[in-house]
Amino acid sequence: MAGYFKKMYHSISTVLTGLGITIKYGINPKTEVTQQYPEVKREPPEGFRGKLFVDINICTGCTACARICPVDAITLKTVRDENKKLRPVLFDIDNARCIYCGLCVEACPVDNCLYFEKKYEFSAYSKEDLISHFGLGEVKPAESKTEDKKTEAGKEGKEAAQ
Amino acid sequence: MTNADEKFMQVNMGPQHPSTHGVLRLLVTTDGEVLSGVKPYIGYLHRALEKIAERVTYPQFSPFTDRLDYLASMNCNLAYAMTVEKLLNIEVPRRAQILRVIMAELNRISSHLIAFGSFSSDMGAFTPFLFGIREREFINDLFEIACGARLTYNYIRIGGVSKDIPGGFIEKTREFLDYFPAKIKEYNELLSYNAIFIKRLANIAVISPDDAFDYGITGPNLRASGIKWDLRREEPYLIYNELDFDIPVGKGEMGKTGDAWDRYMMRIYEMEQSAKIVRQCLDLLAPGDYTAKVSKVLKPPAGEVYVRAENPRGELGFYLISDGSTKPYRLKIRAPSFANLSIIPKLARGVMIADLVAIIGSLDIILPEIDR
Repeated sequence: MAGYFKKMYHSISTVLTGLGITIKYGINPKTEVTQQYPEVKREPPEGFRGKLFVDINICTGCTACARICPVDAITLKTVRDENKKLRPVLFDIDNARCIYCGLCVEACPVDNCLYFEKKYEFSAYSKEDLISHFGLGEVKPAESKTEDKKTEAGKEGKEAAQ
Repeated sequence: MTNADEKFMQVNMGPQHPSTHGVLRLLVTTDGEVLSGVKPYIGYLHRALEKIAERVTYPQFSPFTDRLDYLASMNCNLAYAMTVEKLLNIEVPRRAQILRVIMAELNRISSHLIAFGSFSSDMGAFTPFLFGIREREFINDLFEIACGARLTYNYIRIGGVSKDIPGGFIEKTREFLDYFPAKIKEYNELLSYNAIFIKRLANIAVISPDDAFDYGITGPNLRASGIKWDLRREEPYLIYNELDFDIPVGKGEMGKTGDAWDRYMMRIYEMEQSAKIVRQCLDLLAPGDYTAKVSKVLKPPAGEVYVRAENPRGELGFYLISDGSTKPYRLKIRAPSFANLSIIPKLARGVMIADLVAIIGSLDIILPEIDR
């Protein structure tokens, strides 16, 4: 009989201890941990991996980022301009494909060229809107097209050899 | 259907069921309220990660390991990085090793917090889940300042870690470690020693040491059965042999050794030990390189390696075959949850339907790792 009441006391006391903790948090305003998100936004820390951004004017068109990307989110097309410098005419980053792993940012040899912005809200209504376009578009091509021809000829030669 | 079969009813539990921890489908054969058989069906989360490994280069596969056990990405990153390092014979600098241990143990705490929280909500107590999430947020903030991401970290890389910890990280981690023990005490008062919770779990789904060996169970589930086996002690990697920590073992405090309550409690004890390890590592941290010199194009020699590491859910192994090119020839992943899941049909025979939820929750399986 004593054991029965002992068990009963044990059950009630442990349940009440738990309830006590819950009530303690319920009435103490200092223990509030949630944030009223759309109204109050938190500032991401330094080095946060948000949306990718390219400073296209200093991009050398080396394609290191496109090559390291494990999910092929970066599409890059380069053309030689009049100074025979490689220029990225097309530089698309598909934010829907991007997994924010940071490999491309580390692969980029130019300082502050490809980096993560602190932006994390960029939802869109269609998949196409999720692609960010950074490409220069039209670039005045090199006047002497000999180099291009050479590479093309080389490619054809290789294909023929194969 | 014959008359004999009419006694039984087949019901699907899952794939979309709140307590299956992912998309696990269990085909349950019931005899009234008692289960006469359970058959797990997996594969709903299959992403062919092992095949992807054959198509990407060695550094490129690192982000995919985040997606094995997404609650313990750091530990998965670590096991993969150690595999490739063994193949390439890379010596990791001491600072990087200590940073790796800090991150792995913090991630172990955050993973066990989710195990604690989701198990309690499976058992019908929702408040502890919020408590677990609250402390996990703290750890997520720490990871965010260290690597910039909150879930898929990709921080531990081949050769070291991706970048050094910023200023303020150590102070914030110490703050967390000072604040955390009081919270564990609170969890115990709130849930662990609650009479209803104990009644619900003690003597349920007992795994005997022999069964645990037969099914290849590892991690806290194995230790709950009374077997002292932890890779951090048995096959020390990184700097674990210099650290002082205990390996908690199930003793059957509330019932038989290896019951659901023991498995639950192992995780609480392990969180305490992990906090102890992180504290020691912070004291050991000295200036140095955070990564070894690794060439951008990795071309390991032909050969094969197997490396295993102690994950929060058990033993994660990577079996890697290299043919000397820049891409792995074959990568086999030994996922701990897969072995842990395989014992469910045995445990669930002859128990009540409500106990099936306790079995799944106490084993703490995670589906992306099983399906890969």
